[in-house]
Amino acid sequence: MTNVKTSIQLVIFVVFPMLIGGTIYVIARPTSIILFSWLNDLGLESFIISIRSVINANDFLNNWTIYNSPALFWSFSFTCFLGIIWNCNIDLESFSILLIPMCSGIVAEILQKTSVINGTFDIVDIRSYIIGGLLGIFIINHRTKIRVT
Amino acid sequence: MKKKAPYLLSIVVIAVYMVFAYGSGEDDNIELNADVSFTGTQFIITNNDIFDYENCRIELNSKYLLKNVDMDAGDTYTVGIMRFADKDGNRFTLNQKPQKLTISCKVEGEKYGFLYAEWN
Repeated sequence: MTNVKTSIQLVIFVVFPMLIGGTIYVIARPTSIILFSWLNDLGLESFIISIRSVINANDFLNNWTIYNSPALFWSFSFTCFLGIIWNCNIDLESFSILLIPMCSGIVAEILQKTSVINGTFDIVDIRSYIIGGLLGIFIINHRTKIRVT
Repeated sequence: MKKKAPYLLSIVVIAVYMVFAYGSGEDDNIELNADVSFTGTQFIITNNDIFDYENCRIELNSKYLLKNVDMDAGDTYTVGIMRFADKDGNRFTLNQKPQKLTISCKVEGEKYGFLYAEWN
Protein backbone atom coordinates (compact mmCIF):
# COMPACT_ATOMS: atom_id res chain seq x y z
CA MET A 1 0.00 0.00 0.00
CA THR A 2 2.86 2.33 0.88
CA ASN A 3 4.48 1.52 -2.46
CA VAL A 4 1.27 2.38 -4.29
CA LYS A 5 0.98 5.68 -2.42
CA THR A 6 4.62 6.48 -3.14
CA SER A 7 4.12 5.68 -6.81
CA ILE A 8 1.07 7.94 -7.00
CA GLN A 9 3.00 10.72 -5.27
CA LEU A 10 5.88 10.27 -7.70
CA VAL A 11 3.58 10.51 -10.71
CA ILE A 12 1.59 13.51 -9.46
CA PHE A 13 4.33 15.56 -7.83
CA VAL A 14 7.46 14.50 -9.72
CA VAL A 15 6.79 13.05 -13.18
CA PHE A 16 3.78 15.17 -14.14
CA PRO A 17 5.39 18.58 -13.40
CA MET A 18 8.55 17.51 -15.24
CA LEU A 19 6.47 16.41 -18.23
CA ILE A 20 4.72 19.79 -18.33
CA GLY A 21 8.01 21.69 -18.04
CA GLY A 22 9.72 19.43 -20.56
CA THR A 23 6.87 19.77 -23.04
CA ILE A 24 7.03 23.56 -22.80
CA TYR A 25 10.74 23.39 -23.56
CA VAL A 26 10.30 21.09 -26.53
CA ILE A 27 7.38 22.88 -28.18
CA ALA A 28 8.00 26.51 -27.35
CA ARG A 29 11.59 27.32 -26.49
CA PRO A 30 14.09 28.40 -29.18
CA THR A 31 15.97 25.53 -30.81
CA SER A 32 19.21 27.04 -29.57
CA ILE A 33 19.10 25.09 -26.31
CA ILE A 34 21.25 22.04 -25.59
CA LEU A 35 18.18 19.81 -25.39
CA PHE A 36 17.77 20.16 -29.17
CA SER A 37 21.30 18.90 -29.76
CA TRP A 38 20.38 15.81 -27.72
CA LEU A 39 17.14 15.34 -29.68
CA ASN A 40 19.11 15.75 -32.89
CA ASP A 41 21.58 13.08 -31.76
CA LEU A 42 18.59 10.80 -31.17
CA GLY A 43 17.27 11.54 -34.68
CA LEU A 44 14.11 13.17 -33.29
CA GLU A 45 14.68 16.71 -34.52
CA SER A 46 12.44 16.41 -37.60
CA PHE A 47 9.59 15.01 -35.52
CA ILE A 48 9.94 17.74 -32.90
CA ILE A 49 10.27 20.53 -35.46
CA SER A 50 7.12 19.26 -37.22
CA ILE A 51 5.21 19.23 -33.93
CA ARG A 52 6.40 22.74 -33.12
CA SER A 53 5.24 24.06 -36.48
CA VAL A 54 1.84 22.41 -36.14
CA ILE A 55 1.19 23.51 -32.55
CA ASN A 56 2.68 27.02 -32.82
CA ALA A 57 2.80 27.22 -29.02
CA ASN A 58 4.21 30.75 -29.10
CA ASP A 59 0.84 31.93 -30.43
CA PHE A 60 -1.08 30.99 -27.30
CA LEU A 61 1.48 30.66 -24.49
CA ASN A 62 2.66 33.85 -22.81
CA ASN A 63 6.29 34.66 -22.06
CA TRP A 64 6.06 33.66 -18.39
CA THR A 65 4.76 30.22 -19.30
CA ILE A 66 7.45 29.68 -21.94
CA TYR A 67 10.47 31.20 -20.24
CA ASN A 68 9.84 31.05 -16.48
CA SER A 69 7.33 28.35 -15.59
CA PRO A 70 9.73 25.46 -16.46
CA ALA A 71 11.97 26.70 -13.61
CA LEU A 72 9.01 26.48 -11.23
CA PHE A 73 8.07 22.98 -12.42
CA TRP A 74 11.72 21.84 -12.21
CA SER A 75 12.18 23.19 -8.68
CA PHE A 76 8.82 21.82 -7.49
CA SER A 77 9.38 18.35 -8.97
CA PHE A 78 12.98 18.21 -7.72
CA THR A 79 11.96 19.21 -4.16
CA CYS A 80 9.07 16.74 -4.06
CA PHE A 81 11.29 13.92 -5.35
CA LEU A 82 13.82 14.56 -2.58
CA GLY A 83 10.99 14.82 -0.05
CA ILE A 84 9.55 11.48 -1.13
CA ILE A 85 13.01 9.90 -0.88
CA TRP A 86 13.15 11.19 2.69
CA ASN A 87 9.74 9.62 3.30
CA CYS A 88 8.01 13.01 3.54
CA ASN A 89 9.63 13.37 6.93
CA ILE A 90 10.78 16.93 7.57
CA ASP A 91 13.50 17.37 10.17
CA LEU A 92 16.59 19.55 10.16
CA GLU A 93 18.55 17.06 8.06
CA SER A 94 15.92 16.48 5.38
CA PHE A 95 14.94 20.15 5.34
CA SER A 96 18.47 21.13 4.38
CA ILE A 97 18.30 18.56 1.55
CA LEU A 98 14.96 20.01 0.41
CA LEU A 99 16.56 23.44 0.06
CA ILE A 100 19.04 22.12 -2.54
CA PRO A 101 16.73 22.58 -5.60
CA MET A 102 15.86 26.16 -4.66
CA CYS A 103 19.46 27.06 -3.81
CA SER A 104 20.94 25.41 -6.90
CA GLY A 105 18.47 27.29 -9.12
CA ILE A 106 19.39 30.59 -7.49
CA VAL A 107 23.12 29.83 -7.72
CA ALA A 108 22.72 28.94 -11.40
CA GLU A 109 21.04 32.29 -12.08
CA ILE A 110 23.80 34.16 -10.22
CA LEU A 111 26.43 32.28 -12.24
CA GLN A 112 24.57 33.27 -15.41
CA LYS A 113 24.59 36.91 -14.34
CA THR A 114 28.33 36.77 -13.75
CA SER A 115 28.82 34.96 -17.11
CA VAL A 116 30.41 31.95 -15.44
CA ILE A 117 27.90 29.70 -17.20
CA ASN A 118 25.85 30.15 -20.38
CA GLY A 119 22.34 31.51 -20.13
CA THR A 120 20.36 34.63 -19.48
CA PHE A 121 19.95 35.92 -15.93
CA ASP A 122 16.31 36.47 -15.09
CA ILE A 123 15.02 37.63 -11.70
CA VAL A 124 11.65 36.04 -12.51
CA ASP A 125 13.43 32.68 -12.82
CA ILE A 126 14.79 33.13 -9.28
CA ARG A 127 11.26 33.79 -8.06
CA SER A 128 10.06 30.71 -9.93
CA TYR A 129 12.75 28.53 -8.32
CA ILE A 130 11.79 29.86 -4.87
CA ILE A 131 8.04 29.45 -5.40
CA GLY A 132 8.51 25.95 -6.84
CA GLY A 133 10.77 24.92 -3.97
CA LEU A 134 8.50 26.36 -1.27
CA LEU A 135 5.46 24.77 -2.89
CA GLY A 136 7.30 21.44 -2.89
CA ILE A 137 8.21 21.81 0.79
CA PHE A 138 4.59 22.75 1.55
CA ILE A 139 3.33 19.63 -0.24
CA ILE A 140 5.88 17.41 1.54
CA ASN A 141 5.03 19.00 4.89
CA HIS A 142 1.31 18.57 4.18
CA ARG A 143 1.90 14.90 3.35
CA THR A 144 3.70 14.53 6.69
CA LYS A 145 0.76 15.92 8.61
CA ILE A 146 -1.87 13.75 6.96
CA ARG A 147 0.27 10.62 6.88
CA VAL A 148 -1.35 7.72 8.65
CA THR A 149 1.23 5.95 10.76
CA MET B 1 23.82 3.92 8.65
CA LYS B 2 20.03 3.68 8.20
CA LYS B 3 20.08 6.94 6.30
CA LYS B 4 22.65 5.79 3.78
CA ALA B 5 20.02 4.86 1.19
CA PRO B 6 18.20 8.24 1.21
CA TYR B 7 21.53 10.03 0.88
CA LEU B 8 22.61 7.86 -2.06
CA LEU B 9 19.22 8.23 -3.75
CA SER B 10 19.31 11.98 -3.16
CA ILE B 11 22.70 12.21 -4.85
CA VAL B 12 21.39 10.28 -7.88
CA VAL B 13 18.27 12.47 -8.10
CA ILE B 14 20.34 15.65 -7.75
CA ALA B 15 22.61 14.46 -10.58
CA VAL B 16 19.64 13.67 -12.84
CA TYR B 17 17.98 17.06 -12.24
CA MET B 18 21.29 18.82 -12.85
CA VAL B 19 21.50 17.08 -16.23
CA PHE B 20 17.98 18.35 -17.03
CA ALA B 21 19.02 21.83 -15.98
CA TYR B 22 22.13 21.60 -18.15
CA GLY B 23 19.96 20.54 -21.12
CA SER B 24 17.91 23.67 -20.75
CA GLY B 25 20.99 25.84 -21.18
CA GLU B 26 21.82 27.78 -24.30
CA ASP B 27 23.70 25.95 -27.00
CA ASP B 28 25.17 27.21 -30.22
CA ASN B 29 22.39 25.79 -32.39
CA ILE B 30 21.20 28.11 -35.12
CA GLU B 31 18.44 28.46 -37.64
CA LEU B 32 19.71 27.90 -41.16
CA ASN B 33 19.43 30.81 -43.54
CA ALA B 34 18.45 28.81 -46.62
CA ASP B 35 15.83 29.12 -49.34
CA VAL B 36 13.84 26.06 -50.26
CA SER B 37 11.50 25.85 -53.24
CA PHE B 38 9.79 22.98 -54.99
CA THR B 39 9.51 22.75 -58.77
CA GLY B 40 7.16 19.78 -58.91
CA THR B 41 9.87 17.17 -59.30
CA GLN B 42 12.76 18.55 -57.29
CA PHE B 43 13.73 20.79 -54.43
CA ILE B 44 15.96 23.79 -55.00
CA ILE B 45 17.90 24.55 -51.83
CA THR B 46 20.14 27.59 -51.55
CA ASN B 47 22.59 27.95 -48.69
CA ASN B 48 22.49 31.68 -47.94
CA ASP B 49 24.81 31.36 -44.96
CA ILE B 50 28.50 32.16 -45.00
CA PHE B 51 29.36 28.67 -43.73
CA ASP B 52 28.96 25.20 -45.19
CA TYR B 53 26.19 22.81 -44.23
CA GLU B 54 27.68 19.40 -43.51
CA ASN B 55 26.24 15.96 -43.11
CA CYS B 56 22.70 17.25 -43.58
CA ARG B 57 19.72 15.10 -42.85
CA ILE B 58 16.72 16.11 -44.97
CA GLU B 59 13.35 14.68 -44.04
CA LEU B 60 10.28 14.92 -46.22
CA ASN B 61 6.75 14.64 -44.80
CA SER B 62 8.24 13.31 -41.54
CA LYS B 63 8.85 9.96 -43.21
CA TYR B 64 11.14 10.07 -46.22
CA LEU B 65 14.82 10.68 -45.61
CA LEU B 66 17.91 11.81 -47.44
CA LYS B 67 21.12 11.69 -45.43
CA ASN B 68 24.72 12.85 -45.68
CA VAL B 69 24.13 15.87 -47.90
CA ASP B 70 26.75 18.62 -47.92
CA MET B 71 25.94 22.14 -49.11
CA ASP B 72 28.66 24.71 -49.53
CA ALA B 73 28.11 28.30 -48.46
CA GLY B 74 26.36 30.38 -51.11
CA ASP B 75 25.67 27.44 -53.42
CA THR B 76 22.36 26.17 -54.75
CA TYR B 77 21.53 22.48 -54.77
CA THR B 78 18.95 20.51 -56.65
CA VAL B 79 17.54 17.47 -54.92
CA GLY B 80 15.30 15.16 -56.94
CA ILE B 81 12.16 14.15 -55.11
CA MET B 82 12.75 10.48 -55.85
CA ARG B 83 16.01 10.48 -53.92
CA PHE B 84 13.97 10.40 -50.70
CA ALA B 85 13.17 6.98 -49.26
CA ASP B 86 11.46 5.76 -46.09
CA LYS B 87 13.01 3.33 -43.60
CA ASP B 88 11.71 0.37 -45.64
CA GLY B 89 13.39 1.65 -48.77
CA ASN B 90 10.20 2.87 -50.47
CA ARG B 91 10.87 5.93 -52.60
CA PHE B 92 8.85 9.10 -52.52
CA THR B 93 6.91 9.13 -55.81
CA LEU B 94 5.82 11.91 -58.11
CA ASN B 95 2.21 11.08 -57.21
CA GLN B 96 2.80 12.12 -53.61
CA LYS B 97 2.62 15.70 -52.44
CA PRO B 98 5.46 17.26 -50.45
CA GLN B 99 3.99 19.00 -47.43
CA LYS B 100 6.85 19.58 -45.04
CA LEU B 101 10.60 19.45 -45.23
CA THR B 102 13.03 19.62 -42.33
CA ILE B 103 16.76 20.05 -42.71
CA SER B 104 19.27 19.56 -39.93
CA CYS B 105 23.00 19.92 -40.53
CA LYS B 106 26.28 20.19 -38.72
CA VAL B 107 27.57 23.73 -39.10
CA GLU B 108 30.75 25.45 -38.05
CA GLY B 109 32.17 22.42 -36.31
CA GLU B 110 29.94 20.96 -33.62
CA LYS B 111 26.92 23.26 -33.87
CA TYR B 112 23.62 22.15 -35.34
CA GLY B 113 21.51 24.15 -37.76
CA PHE B 114 17.81 23.59 -38.42
CA LEU B 115 15.33 24.63 -41.08
CA TYR B 116 11.67 23.82 -41.55
CA ALA B 117 9.62 24.45 -44.69
CA GLU B 118 6.07 23.52 -45.56
CA TRP B 119 3.75 23.71 -48.54
CA ASN B 120 -0.03 23.71 -48.65
